[in-house]
Amino acid sequence: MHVDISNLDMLKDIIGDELKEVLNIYLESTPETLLKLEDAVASKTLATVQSQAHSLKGSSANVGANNLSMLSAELEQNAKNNHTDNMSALLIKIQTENIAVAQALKDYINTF
Amino acid sequence: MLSTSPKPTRILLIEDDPVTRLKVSKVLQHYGYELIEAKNGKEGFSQFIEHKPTLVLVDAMMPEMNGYEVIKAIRNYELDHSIPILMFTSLEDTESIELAFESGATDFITKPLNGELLAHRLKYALRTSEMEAKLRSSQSQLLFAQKLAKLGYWEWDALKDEVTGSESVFNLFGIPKQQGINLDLFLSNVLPKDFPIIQQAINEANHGQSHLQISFRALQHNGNLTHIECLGEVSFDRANKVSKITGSAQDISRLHKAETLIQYQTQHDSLTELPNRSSFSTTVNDYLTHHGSGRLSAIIIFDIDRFKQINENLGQEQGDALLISLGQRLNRITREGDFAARLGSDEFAVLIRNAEHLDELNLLLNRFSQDLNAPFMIDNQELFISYSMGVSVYPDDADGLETLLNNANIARTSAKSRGGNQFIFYSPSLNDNAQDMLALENDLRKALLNNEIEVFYQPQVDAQTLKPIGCEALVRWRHQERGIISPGIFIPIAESTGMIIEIGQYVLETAVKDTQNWHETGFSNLRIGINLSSRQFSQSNLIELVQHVISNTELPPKFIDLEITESLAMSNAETNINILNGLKAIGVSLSIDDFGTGYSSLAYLHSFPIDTIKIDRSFVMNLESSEGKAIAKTILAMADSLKLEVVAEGIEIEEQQQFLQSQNCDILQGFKYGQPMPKNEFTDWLTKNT
Repeated sequence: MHVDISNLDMLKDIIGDELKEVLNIYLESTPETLLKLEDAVASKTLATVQSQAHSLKGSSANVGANNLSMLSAELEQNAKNNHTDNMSALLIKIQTENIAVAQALKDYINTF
Repeated sequence: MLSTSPKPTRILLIEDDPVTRLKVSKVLQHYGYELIEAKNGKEGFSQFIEHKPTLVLVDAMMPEMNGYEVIKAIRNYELDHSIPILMFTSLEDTESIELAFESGATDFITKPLNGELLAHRLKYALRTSEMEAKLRSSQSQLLFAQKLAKLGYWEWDALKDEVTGSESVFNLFGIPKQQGINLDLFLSNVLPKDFPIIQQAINEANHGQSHLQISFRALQHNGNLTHIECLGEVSFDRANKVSKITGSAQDISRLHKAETLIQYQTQHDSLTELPNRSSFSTTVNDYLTHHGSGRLSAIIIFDIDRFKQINENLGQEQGDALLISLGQRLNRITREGDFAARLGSDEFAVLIRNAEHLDELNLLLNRFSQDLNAPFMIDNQELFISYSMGVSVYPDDADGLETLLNNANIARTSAKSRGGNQFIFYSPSLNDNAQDMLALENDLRKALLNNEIEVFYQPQVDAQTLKPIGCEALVRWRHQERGIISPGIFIPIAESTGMIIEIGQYVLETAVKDTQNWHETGFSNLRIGINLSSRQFSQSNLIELVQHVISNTELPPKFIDLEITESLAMSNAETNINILNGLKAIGVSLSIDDFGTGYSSLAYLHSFPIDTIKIDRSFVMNLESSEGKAIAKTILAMADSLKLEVVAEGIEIEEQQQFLQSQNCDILQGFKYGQPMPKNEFTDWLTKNT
């Protein structure tokens, strides 16, 4: 499962329809984060990889995208420890996962 | 479900990730909190200063000042560590949790954030901090009291009109300790004769006086009189109204009994309890023979203008109340070591010991007469009274008691004959000087209103390219009749009267506005140096004021360079480092001015968060000698190793410039590039030299 729907439901219980705004902000801001991440991985700018992966880790966890959050955490750790070997592979996993996450979130928004 | 306060609890949320920020803020708003958001550390700290939140939530990793730095900045700024700060950390990251506590966080919340849990954690943090605040307040009351030699404490809540305090205080005032005692009830055993003293103090508090020290008598149930001394600290709300007064009370009856009644009566005036004429003579005589030889001192003798008439209008009893209040005020407004006495009916005298020089004496006298001129509250009415004052100066006017008193009296008579409401020196030459100072002081009060205070700008150039790099803002007073008045003359007056604060604020605002203007017209790298006076620097809300200026301008704060003198920085290094850290955290640059004139070492200065040192002009003037060159070289080399930028002031000739260039000085300032000039001239200079 790409997005933990029960997590979103719990949040929806508290803030109601405004959850839509939160999800939309995620959908709007994530592509930019991923672009920055891609640039940074390509140019091996590890500090940027670390900080962008860090924010992706946080924002994805906040919308219940636990897989994506874990992948981001792994990338963040790799960058922190200078492990550059499978960074590109990890990035591709993240990008693919995010496509699924985005679709799941859009589907969820449509149930509002 | 939140705290009982009617206002919503205000939370500052500092978080760079927009998703987390929006989610947290939505959740918390639903639980009834008011949210202020900041998207990085620097913005967070600014918002903290501006909005005074009740609790802070801060993320650890952020651009532009990370979470730990924000917490440190906040802790530095508030000093009493009272605001709960919760940090978001990852559960697995024990290192960041440790760092959070080290930098001063109250607690941490692990991510990912669960909405309901978050609200609960917040509620607990707020409740704990409320309890701590209560504890702190009662502890500080206790400490305050203990510090003052185990006195009882009391507190008057002005809004609820309720007095609370320790058992001993209620005993002292002869009132049973219970809830809901209002001020009138609390004071109901105070001798009616002494009541005006208290009214006077409250009136002064209403006019902004933050400390009070009064003594009065209360009638006990057994018929005895107790002498009570009260010290108090006044708190004000945001509208500057008195919100509460906290203080101590002490039974000082023993002090009065320690002297035999007879002794006391022979040395004190029974109405005001000030020392009497014979006591004053003895004290002055003692002082002149034993301590005062050669030191500049003065005797003031004064009386109330038209006292007879005032007394008739008020009635005997209120007239006496006025004299008692005046006596109390004299004790308060004279410096420690000065000596005030009542010589006769409405005639008083003050011995001023040890003034540094005549100008200081003049400032002291001005201050004294202004404090004396503040209105009295008599019978619920503001009463303005004026005085005729005569001053004789030792050793200039006389060297013995008799002659000094005589001369002061002659001067007093002459003040009276000129219509009163003034002080006059016995010596005519001193009068001219004093008149001049007084006139200037009065004019200075109107100078800001009349737009006579101007900001001039002295160019600064890059030492290598000699192109404009910035300027220093310098204050000028263009007096309507006398023309430009030297800062050397009017700054001390402004300092002593407190007007320096308004003037300083005006200079800060104007200089920032003008610099923003230059930035808009294309000189977008121009920096502006602005001096902070010691009075400004010791204002408790300095950081807030600077933040306010920054919030109201487009000019990035890094171009604003606040300069404090070396001696000011060193005067109270510990506290000052905190203030400087706070200023640094809101983004301005900091310079040490007049470097080399104090006694600090560069290495010590390194613990200050400063960017620049300004070498004093005296070093530049000394560059002709080889010794002078050696000193300058050392300073520049050390500054270089400490990565401090160096501005050299007072450059006048080519040789100085060449030497400083060869030693990698960064910025030059002096007549060689331009004198301080008005805004428009400086704009021309910029255009011409760019």
